[in-house]
Amino acid sequence: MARYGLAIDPSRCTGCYACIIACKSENSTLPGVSWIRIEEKEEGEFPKVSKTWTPVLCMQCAEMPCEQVCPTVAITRGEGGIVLIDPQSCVCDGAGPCLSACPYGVLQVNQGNRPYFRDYLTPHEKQDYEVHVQGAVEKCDLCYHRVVAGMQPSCVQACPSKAMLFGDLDERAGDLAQLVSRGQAKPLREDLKSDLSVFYIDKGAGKGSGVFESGLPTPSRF
Amino acid sequence: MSANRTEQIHSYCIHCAALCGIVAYVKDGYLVKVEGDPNSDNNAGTLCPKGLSAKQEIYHPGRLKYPMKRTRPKGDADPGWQHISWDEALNTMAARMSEIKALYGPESFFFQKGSTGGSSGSEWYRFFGRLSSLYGSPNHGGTGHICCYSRSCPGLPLHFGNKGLHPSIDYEKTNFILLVGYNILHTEPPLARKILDAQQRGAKLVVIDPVLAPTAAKADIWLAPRPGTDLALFLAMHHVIIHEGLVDADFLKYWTNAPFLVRDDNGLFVSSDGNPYLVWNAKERAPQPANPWFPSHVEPALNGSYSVNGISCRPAWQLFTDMVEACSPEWAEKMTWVEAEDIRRVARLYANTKPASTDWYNGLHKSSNGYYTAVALALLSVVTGNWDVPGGLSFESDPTFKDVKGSQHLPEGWINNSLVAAAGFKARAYNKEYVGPMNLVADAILTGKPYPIKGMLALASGMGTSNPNSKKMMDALKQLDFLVMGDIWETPAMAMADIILPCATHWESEFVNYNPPYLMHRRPIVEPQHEAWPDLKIIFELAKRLGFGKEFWDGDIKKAFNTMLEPFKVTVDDLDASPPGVRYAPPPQPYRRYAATDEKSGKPKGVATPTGKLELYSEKLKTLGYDPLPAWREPEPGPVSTPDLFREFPLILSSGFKPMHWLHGQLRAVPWLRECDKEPSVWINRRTAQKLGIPEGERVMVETPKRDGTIQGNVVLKAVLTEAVHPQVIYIPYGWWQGCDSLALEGYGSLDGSANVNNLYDDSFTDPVSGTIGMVSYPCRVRKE
Repeated sequence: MARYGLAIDPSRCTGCYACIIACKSENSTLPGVSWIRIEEKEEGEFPKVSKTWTPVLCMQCAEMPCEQVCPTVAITRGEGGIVLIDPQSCVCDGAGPCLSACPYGVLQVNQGNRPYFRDYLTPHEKQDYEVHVQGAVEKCDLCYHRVVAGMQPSCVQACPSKAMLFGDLDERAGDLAQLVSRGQAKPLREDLKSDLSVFYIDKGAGKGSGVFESGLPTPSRF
Repeated sequence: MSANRTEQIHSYCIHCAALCGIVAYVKDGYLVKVEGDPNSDNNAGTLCPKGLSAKQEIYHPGRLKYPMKRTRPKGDADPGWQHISWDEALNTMAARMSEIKALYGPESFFFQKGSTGGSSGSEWYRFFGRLSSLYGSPNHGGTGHICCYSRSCPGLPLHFGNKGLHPSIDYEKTNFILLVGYNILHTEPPLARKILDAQQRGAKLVVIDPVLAPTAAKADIWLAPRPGTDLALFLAMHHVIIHEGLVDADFLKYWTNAPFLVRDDNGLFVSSDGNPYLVWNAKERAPQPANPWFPSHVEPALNGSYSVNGISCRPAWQLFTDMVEACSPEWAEKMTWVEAEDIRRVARLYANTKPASTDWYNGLHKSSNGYYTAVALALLSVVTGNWDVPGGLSFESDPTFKDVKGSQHLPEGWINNSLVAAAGFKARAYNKEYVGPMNLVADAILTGKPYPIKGMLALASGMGTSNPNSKKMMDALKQLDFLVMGDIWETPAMAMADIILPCATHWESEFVNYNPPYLMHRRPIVEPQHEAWPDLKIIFELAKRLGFGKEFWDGDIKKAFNTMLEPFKVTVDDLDASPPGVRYAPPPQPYRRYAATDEKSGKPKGVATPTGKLELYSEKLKTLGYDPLPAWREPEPGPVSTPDLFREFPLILSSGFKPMHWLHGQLRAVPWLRECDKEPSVWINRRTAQKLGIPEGERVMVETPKRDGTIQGNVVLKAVLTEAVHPQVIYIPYGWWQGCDSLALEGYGSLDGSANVNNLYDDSFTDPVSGTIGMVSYPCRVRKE
């Protein structure tokens, strides 16, 4: 068994949007829909002011609060524990109790297969829009089609800062599992006990650990 | 998506100068996606938003589709664009260019190249230069005056002899990273991970920037000076370094002109008996020739006052020391608003950490004192022995592709006949740097002086928005007898063009380049859309029609590439035969080039400066009528230098840093990118906004004066309230003119009421040495629209 997950290091994120556009390019999500967002936070007063960026996406919770409220059993767990929404079964017509059940606000409704350009579907849209279903709820699936083929999610690969690490939490000796077991990577919200697979590096727990240097080998399968 | 029937093409992205290796997935002739190439040494599989959005850029329906000519007079709201063939466009161009040359001389035709990216101007500019040289015009415009004159185009050749070479820092070795006006984490995406790695390993990152840009936000120490006063900060750092004995005196003695004796009476070097330079040998208490090298037993004095043949003189270092003596951190605090203790702390940390690197870019540069600011900053590396050492301020290797710019075709005396020389930028002319500030052409068109400019070919240059004083530029372009503009998009300046040409994106064009580890022939990943042509093809086809076919390889671009590849002893066919290219390992980056030995003579080669040494003191600048030392001068305009202007326009307007997702004024039409950054904005400090009664998101008008105090122009922007800028400073991101139809966002134009920050600048506040324009410390006022 594997359990795929991420560790994200906000101290390396520069808010550049590469993850957002990599996701767009890979998954052809529709206008206004993004499966990953970057939260920007400014604190303090000039010149003692700081700015931080935090990428937020589906946390792949084991307990799936979204699934618990889904009236049509559209939400399941796929290979590696990845939470998947079957667009064909997602038919509660926009009532979407899952939208508000998600503590991270990362679910979005496909409002319709509208092309980006007026009266013109680009060649890639023509092909890719087939997998998107109007009215269905969508979210990040860690690039399921890529990871089952042994590749990294597109955002992880693209990130110019190498602020994201993809791995298998069940691989005890792996970098990801080590970060979590040493307490260097923690859930975004520790108040929620939802056994999730996406973690955030906590610099307070050991600054300069060096675990994220991009020279670090990625797990052999990836 | 299935990758089974999909072809993978290895190439590189040239949206910016970083050159990231990419893999393009192409299926049935259309682009499925672009990804970073994991095998590329530069980017290791990563890729920035610009490269990742390739397919939305290529298949954008709003691109220029075919060549067009105007059918209605200039000034008409509707140019009456009429679709014409490439043949008609090129034949008309060749005929009009020949006519203008015959009537007014070749110098009356201006060749303007804009961006280095998008259509890959950083590659094809060589052939564009070749065309202007063959045509005979010394007026080849670029963007150096608003970009990188004091860094790499041409760099600081007078002082350090490193003409045109870019700083290239070894981030794996450095222990200190000092960045000035350089949002490097976004503008050099492949360096982002390396700099963050260095920081994680313990290297200190210090960023000097008036705005909390993303790179500043990651700094261990961020210093935010009053815009345009960085020079005062660096002089104070020198002051601390000298006072605390942190100078590398041996380096100064043997590799710089610091010990050269300077005459008290005229500021020139003391010479004697055919020896152009003397030092004072402290061992023998006597003058000693430095030609420029002296025997190792000589102990040149750095300080003191001497008399040689009755001439009183002092070492250049003494003059430098005297100059910075007045520049204490307390003095600099008054100039820069940065606390004296912070300046002291950074100076000590910098001088005590080895190796320490510095780098800078156009934030430092777009100021009327930019030239000397860069000199003072680079000298920090020199006086601490961090110059050209691993992990210090080092420079890339000399270029290895064969030069095809064809400068030899220019007529004798061309430099004196150029607009650059006529405008008095003598240092620029001295360096035979004929890429001229494009604002000079506006003056020449409007005044007819030094001679009339009658025609222009501008490729990849949004002249209506990219140059300070957009109104003047638009007025000037309107006066031209013949204007041709080529671009991917219809830009505001095209309203003044006679012919407009649809250019290919770089994804649809070809070139040869080194993208480590490969020498690559970058082939089109898809064919150009509609009737677009690559700029390179336009240049070659025009050259043929102007009678330069022979000098342009009979129009065979592949042959031209083979010429460029000669030093590598490979051909385009060789590169094509083994995709992604031929592996090539360049010689290791050279260090300590100032100490290189000439193999024949066994003597040091020296650097390409007038004295052969790194120059702390530039006698050449002195003879050209400039200050030989980087003495303090206020930025112009500015609250101190032009206080009258600030009475009615009390805020300081700054503009500059580039986020990763934009390339200057390009790409605003690409919806994926625009969804991330929708509207042009102005950053206003929260406390200032409160006083002005401006709430978050309010539309506000920013207004500025001309030099004489009358109104220069205005723009209308969305207010972003922040603590990322000083209460007296506002910051406007540049490059906003284009609409985005997909998001129902209309274009903004380029003049009053637009979002174009360049509409706010009078371009007459220039750096006397380099001609760069004061854009970071401009007076302005803000009010609700």
